[in-house]
Amino acid sequence: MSTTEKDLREHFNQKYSSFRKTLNGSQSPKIDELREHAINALNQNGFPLTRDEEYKYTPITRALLKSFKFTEEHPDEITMVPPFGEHLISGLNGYILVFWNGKLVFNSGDTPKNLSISPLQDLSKEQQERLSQYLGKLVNYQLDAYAALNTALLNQGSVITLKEGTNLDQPVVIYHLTDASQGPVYTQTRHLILAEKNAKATVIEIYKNLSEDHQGFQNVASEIYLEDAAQLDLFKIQTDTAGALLVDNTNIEQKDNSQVRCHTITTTGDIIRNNLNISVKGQNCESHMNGLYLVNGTSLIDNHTLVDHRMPNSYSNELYKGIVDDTATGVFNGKIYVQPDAQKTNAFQSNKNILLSDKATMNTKPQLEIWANDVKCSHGATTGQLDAEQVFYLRSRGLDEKQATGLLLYAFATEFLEQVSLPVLNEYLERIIADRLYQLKS
Amino acid sequence: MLKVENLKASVEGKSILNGIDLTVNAGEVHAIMGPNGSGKSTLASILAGRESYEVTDGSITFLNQDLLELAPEERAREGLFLAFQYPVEIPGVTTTNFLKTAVNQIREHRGQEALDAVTFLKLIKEKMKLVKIDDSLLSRSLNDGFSGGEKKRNEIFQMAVLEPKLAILDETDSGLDIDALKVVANGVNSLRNKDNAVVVVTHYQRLLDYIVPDFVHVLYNGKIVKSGDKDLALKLEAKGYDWIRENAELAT
Ligand SMILES: Nc1ncnc2c1ncn2[C@@H]1O[C@H](COP(=O)(O)OP(=O)(O)OP(=O)(O)O)[C@@H](O)[C@H]1O
Ligand SMILES: [Mg+2]
Repeated sequence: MSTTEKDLREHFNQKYSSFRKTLNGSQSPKIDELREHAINALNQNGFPLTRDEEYKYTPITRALLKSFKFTEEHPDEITMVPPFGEHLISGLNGYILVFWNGKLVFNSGDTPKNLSISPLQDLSKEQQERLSQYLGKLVNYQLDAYAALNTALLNQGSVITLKEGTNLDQPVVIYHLTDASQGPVYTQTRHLILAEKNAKATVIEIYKNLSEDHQGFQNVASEIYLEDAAQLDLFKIQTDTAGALLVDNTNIEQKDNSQVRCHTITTTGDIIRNNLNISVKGQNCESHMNGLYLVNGTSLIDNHTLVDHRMPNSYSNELYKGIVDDTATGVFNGKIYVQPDAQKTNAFQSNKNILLSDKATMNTKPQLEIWANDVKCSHGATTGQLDAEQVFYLRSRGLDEKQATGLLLYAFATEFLEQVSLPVLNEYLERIIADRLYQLKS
Repeated sequence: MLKVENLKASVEGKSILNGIDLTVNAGEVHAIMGPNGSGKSTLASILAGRESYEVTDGSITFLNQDLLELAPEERAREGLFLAFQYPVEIPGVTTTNFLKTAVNQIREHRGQEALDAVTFLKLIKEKMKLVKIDDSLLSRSLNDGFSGGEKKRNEIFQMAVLEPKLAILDETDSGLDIDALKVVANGVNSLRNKDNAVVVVTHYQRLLDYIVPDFVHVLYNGKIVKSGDKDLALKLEAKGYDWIRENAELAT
């Protein structure tokens, strides 16, 4: 008998009950209550199927049902720290956290006093109590079942605090490694980032799926608070994610004069869903969303973004670009809300896609909802082939068709890198893009 | 070098070229004139290998090869160059960027060694001087936000770098100020020798004061209806195309 959505819920309810037992009163009642709310939301709403508008093109629940024979689920106790060195990006120095199947296995520690990184699972009751004003306040577990699941099982992860005025000398680098070589695994982590006034930092999240033979399901959620004039560059690097099932929920709240630049790059994965939600609760904020996906085979990459302008005089700019080949699918849904109070908002959105095969699919949907009258908003979406005129021009100069299309695709894709200022990362990603395009064209 | 015989071509079922005959020998300069829409750019595009035109009759030989059998890049490697009337914009690709690949493809085809970065840069510098083009233009996205004149000058710069055997300049003079016109003409003239040839498509006698043609052809309704020497261009400048039209209509 095949597994149903109900079985899936039951499975996770059991997991939830046994998890609750292990907590054994160590938890602040507020956090306990949050978990309880979240599991209730999950039970009420169920896992999203493709009949749900928000997951219309993204059968990730079905994939989960298919690949997980729950009795075989690999026990997630890690008794020995596996060697993970080879999975780190060489030359990318920083304050490093490594999660292996959802467990923190490495914390480089040694942080300067303006930065604190605490494992979420190690917080004292008092700390939990204090952080309960942040935890679960941005992640919308009513709207997204995977966010609900992540909240119900909230345990491993990190709390990263950037003290007032910090200008971090190195990035915080978080590795999410999933190893399903022993059988399918469900892994999750949860992060809370608090950037106090005038703090400035770069956070890089790297997602990797280490074995393609079984499926690893990664469920990552983060809540990020930017206080006045804080600045954050946030990277999501999903380039070693072949075979992965992955849902990422990232929720950001911005106060006055804060700036956030999000860069999401995805080049592989079975089904990857990124929810990026930015709530602009201050004036004179900047929110940048920079995305690139390069997909082939049968991969499905789904980026859902939302920027919710709640206050006047802020600026948001979004550019997502994609190249889709073979029978792969790309999904882009970009919501812009401009609330009645958010006068003088400037909000721009653009989604550009190139399809390299006639079986490749791109579903793109800009969704602008504007309740204020004095705003500047624009959006545009294009999906098509490479420009034949451009190809002809280059060929007329002596480049063969492959060189011409290669050059054009490279130019198209590397616009993403213009906003990547960290040199090691820029070089790393450039190499990945070049390699990837080489695979796509052949 | 180039022999076009009875060339007929159409686009989307509409016939545009109606039997063109044109022979260009090494060392010669030909000017093609003719009213708007007469088919000049169509002819140039077909020579360069644009696929949206359908050749319905006739033949083209270039350096003893059937040109129509060659892909656009093969034509370029054989030494054919088209300076486009409306050069396309390519965001993210700079001139230097693709020109290095272009140069080395052409060199490889000629059995020459690829240029290393330093030698290529030297070549670029030298040609930049020749056509007085600015460094900054070459490091910007191709034609992206270029002024009309800058686009044309960039085309001539590419020609200078690629050193073609047959250069076709499609209204390269349009939109150029008088100084730029001289620079472009100068660039063309300094590349001329007994082994290569130039076809200039133009509406104005002005350019032909600087690039003196051996032959002037008038294209009208997809046919060359009159050929002559450089005096024909002067006559066209003075009298316009009406007398050509009348003659052409009489002939049909
Ligand atoms: N892709 C096309 N589709 C439809 N008609 C076309 C196409 N290309 C050219 N034509 C038509 O063919 C005719 C010749 O065009 P062409 O561009 O060759 O003229 P031209 O002599 O270069 O004119 P000009 O002096 O204005 O540059 C015109 O009537 C033009 O509209
Ligand atoms: Mg023309």
